[in-house]
Amino acid sequence: MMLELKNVNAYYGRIQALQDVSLRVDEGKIVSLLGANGAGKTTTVRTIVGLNRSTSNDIRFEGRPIGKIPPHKIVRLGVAMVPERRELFPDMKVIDNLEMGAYSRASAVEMRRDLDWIYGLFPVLAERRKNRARALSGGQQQMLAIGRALMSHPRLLLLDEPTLGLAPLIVKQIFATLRELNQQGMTILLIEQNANQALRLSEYSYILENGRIALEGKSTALSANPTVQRSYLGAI
Amino acid sequence: MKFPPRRQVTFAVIALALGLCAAAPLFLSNYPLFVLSLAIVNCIAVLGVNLVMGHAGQISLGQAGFAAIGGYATALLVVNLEVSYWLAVPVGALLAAGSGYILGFPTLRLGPLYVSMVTFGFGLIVVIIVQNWYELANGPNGMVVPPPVFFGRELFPREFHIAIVAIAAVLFLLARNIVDSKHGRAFVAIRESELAARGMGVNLAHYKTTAFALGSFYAGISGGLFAGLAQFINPDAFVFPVSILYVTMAILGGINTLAGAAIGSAMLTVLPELLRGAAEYKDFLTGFLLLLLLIFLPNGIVGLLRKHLVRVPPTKSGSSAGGRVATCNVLPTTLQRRGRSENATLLRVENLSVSFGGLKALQNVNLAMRSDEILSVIGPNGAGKTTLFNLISGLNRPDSGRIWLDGTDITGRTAHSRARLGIARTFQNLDLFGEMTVLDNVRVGAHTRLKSSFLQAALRTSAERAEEARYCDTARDLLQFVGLGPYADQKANRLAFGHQRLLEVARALASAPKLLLLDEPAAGLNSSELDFLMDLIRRIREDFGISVLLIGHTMRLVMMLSNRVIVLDHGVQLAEGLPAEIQKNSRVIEAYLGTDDA
Repeated sequence: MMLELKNVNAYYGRIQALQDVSLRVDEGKIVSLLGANGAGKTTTVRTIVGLNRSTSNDIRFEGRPIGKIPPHKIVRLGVAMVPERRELFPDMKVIDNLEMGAYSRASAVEMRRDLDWIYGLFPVLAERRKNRARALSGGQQQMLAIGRALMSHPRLLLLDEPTLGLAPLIVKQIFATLRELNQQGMTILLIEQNANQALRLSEYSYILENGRIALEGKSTALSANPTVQRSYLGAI
Repeated sequence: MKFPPRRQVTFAVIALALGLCAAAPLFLSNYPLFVLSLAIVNCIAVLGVNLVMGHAGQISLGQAGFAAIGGYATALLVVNLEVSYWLAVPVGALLAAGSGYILGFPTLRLGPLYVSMVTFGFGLIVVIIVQNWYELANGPNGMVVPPPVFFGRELFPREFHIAIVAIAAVLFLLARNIVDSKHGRAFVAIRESELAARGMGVNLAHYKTTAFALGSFYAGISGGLFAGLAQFINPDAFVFPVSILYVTMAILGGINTLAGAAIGSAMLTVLPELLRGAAEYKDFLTGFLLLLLLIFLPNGIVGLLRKHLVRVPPTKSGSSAGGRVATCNVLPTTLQRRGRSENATLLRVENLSVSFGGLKALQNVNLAMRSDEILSVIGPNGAGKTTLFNLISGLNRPDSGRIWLDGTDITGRTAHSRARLGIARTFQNLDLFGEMTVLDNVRVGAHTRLKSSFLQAALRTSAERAEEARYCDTARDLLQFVGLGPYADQKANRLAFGHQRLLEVARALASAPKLLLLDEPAAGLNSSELDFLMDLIRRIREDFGISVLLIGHTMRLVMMLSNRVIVLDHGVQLAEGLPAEIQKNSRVIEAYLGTDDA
């Protein structure tokens, strides 16, 4: 098992944001985390990468407890996050943003190789590598955010709403890339408001509600579940 | 009259502090009393720092320079022209305020680092002038100021202390009144996001210069009182380290709370005196203690007290998907515009073009929008949709082309005057006032609707209070309307992303616009939340009579709501038509929608 959360609790000040959240992500799988705004999805990934803290040490990555490890060391263990709203370094060049993703790595040779791999996934980033990140379109920025996360050569990739504000055509491209990454062996935990697409891409899904896991199951089963359709996916 | 407990506690603490200060001459000997008077005089200058830096977010390193203007003006008026001290102090303060106002202008074009340098330079110049201009005030030797005279009698320091306490109390009250008004919120809005503040109709030039004038006024009073207290002034009292000391006092106390000014100035005036015994280590110990305090109290002492004493009632984050009900059925009467638009065409854009450094962001874009219409703009990322919004709302200027709103040519108007004319917008990348409460964000949205003047706010007239209360209710109603009622008292940056978008809608509605520009309102919403939003937008048009211009990538939203759709690609209008036509348009499918429905 790659990632396991057991009864994770997290607070903002006195407000409880997560209550006994348990979830697991097996190696090589895509798991999606769904739920309304304010349900605690972003808090969950922030807690996994150590930006928020669970009140107990109950998060394991490849069997190893990481609940007390600082964020920069969690990255070195092989967990990378694509944050909500991308959080690029807007005045740095595309290539520098990518290299920042490899900040925790030593080997320049490997870095070159990964750079080529990312340019292969997103050819447009190679074209625009000398541009500042802020000059990119929304879709290109999202590709850059994913590319930057991949530069740390993670084994687990956490994506927080990677299709936010993107045109339909680009959304399709991003989902296709995620599928391709997964086929190359990447384990993915995906937060997505576009629930139908996320369910189609992932094998297993969790639905958060008010900081608790309200439902979980195989994505195909959840898609077919009329309650889920009504409460979370809307009528389409 | 029944107050909630927290207010009672605050009142009790203030009454106690004020009582102790006023009664101090009864139990303090001369020197400790002088130190207390000095702390209060410092507190007045720190209040100014608090307003300029803590609230309006403009870094000011020249506060002592403004105090010097107040102090020297007072001294010179009293000594040379035999003006009454009680008249000289306000005159000096007004002079200081005038210089602050003028100094505010260059800061309009400068970033925060440069503003701090400008104010720093100003403080230096003032000191250099008084040091070297012997004829004015004896240069570095300073000048003696006679004791203040009250009804023909020279006041003893003990009596003057009471006057200082009274003046400080009044200035404190005025500052509180201003902070808790549309003007105070405008200051904070500028600090949090100049862009969004402009979009809400806040006149940046006016508020920045006013903030500097206000801060300098407080410094000027402080300088004048210092002259009366010490009965002597020389340039040493106003050198650069004094400016830094004021800033440190403000930060130590808690820079965005007025109480912080009192606590910080009291501590840093009294602390060095307490360490007087360890003479050679005094500065070292003061610095060391300060360092520790600042490291461990990032939000100042008031921040620490808040954290431990004030209980935040847990917000029921229970507004689960689909469970929210819009309870506010009609536009609150406060937000109804006088006449309905008589023009059939609400917004007309003609041949609009703009380039950014060689990139043609928009080329010859035309659109005409009827009143009560929902018009959508779609297109790939980078097509120029947000640029179009920026041009319409006045944040950018077109290279060519014209824009009319309701028959008025607004091409040359500023963003804040367009907001007044009835254009409100949301921001694609979210531009909330993060450190303000959700409620106050909406109240800033109503900035242009509130008519009370600065003076009315400072004096807290009953009309001003009534207006504030009315619009506070309006803001709560609007939060209910967008389903954020339970979050009203949280900080805006604590909200989930999709909720922040809804807050932007409520904030934009608070200005009672004729035209609402929504930039990707659905991003970050799940399907059931999207249903809620669609219902909301329909009602904004039908119940509130506000036309909506919408940028959206969510096809369900665009196709079900819009009367017409305009497609942009690479800054050029690719297509325009009914939603059904657009969906079938092969060029649109190729550039934007994609063919495969996977």
